[in-house]
Amino acid sequence: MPELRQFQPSLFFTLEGNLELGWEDRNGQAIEIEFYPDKIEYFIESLNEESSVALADIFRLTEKIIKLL
Amino acid sequence: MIRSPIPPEENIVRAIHRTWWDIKDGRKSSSIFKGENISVSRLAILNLQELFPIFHRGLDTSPSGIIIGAGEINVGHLQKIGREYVEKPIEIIVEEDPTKENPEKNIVENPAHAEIPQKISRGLAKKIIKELVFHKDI
Repeated sequence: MPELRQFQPSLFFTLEGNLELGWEDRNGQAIEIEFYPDKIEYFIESLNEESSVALADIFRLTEKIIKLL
Repeated sequence: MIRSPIPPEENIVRAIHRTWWDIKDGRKSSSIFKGENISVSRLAILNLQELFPIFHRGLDTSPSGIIIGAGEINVGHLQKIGREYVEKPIEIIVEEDPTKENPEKNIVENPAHAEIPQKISRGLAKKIIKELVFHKDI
C-alpha cells in the first residue's frame, strides 16, 4: 500500500506482539489495521466498520481504504 | 470470589506502553483500551506517583515496551461512553481486583488494581481514548 506513505502512519505494537498501523483519512477520521499471523483486523471510523480479513484478501481491504485516502 | 464494582465517582488510570502512543503525531493505539479483562488502577487507593513504580516493575518487560504514561478517566464517564456507543452499546463495569505479589505469574502487588471484564471493541476503545486525560511519566 505505497499510498500510505504520504499519511505517515504511526507504528504500534500490541500486547500480542502484532504490528499495528494507525492514521487518519482525508476527513481526519481514524483508520487502524492490525496484522495477525493469519488475518488483518481493521477499524475504519468513517464507515463505522470494524472487522477482519484473511491475509489472502488483503487487496480487498486495500481497495476499501484507498477510496478514503 | 465476588468482585465489587467500583463506584462511578471514582477515577481510574490505564498504564500506557511506549509503542501505544506516538507522541510525535499524538496518535494512540486502540490497544490502550481494547480487549477483555482490561487492567486499570484506582486513584482512590493509590496516586500516580505511587502507581508508576508498580507499573514499571510489572509491565516494563512487555513486548509493547516500557510504560511511558497513564490515561485517566472517571468510571461514570466511561460507563456513559459504553452505554451511548451507537454501534453496540455495552454496560461497562469496573471491578476491584487488588493483586498480591506472585513472581511465578509475574504479578506485582497492586492494592489499587481493578479490571474491566467486558470486551471492549476497537471502535469503542477509540472513543474512550479520546476522553482520557494523559499523564506522562517524567
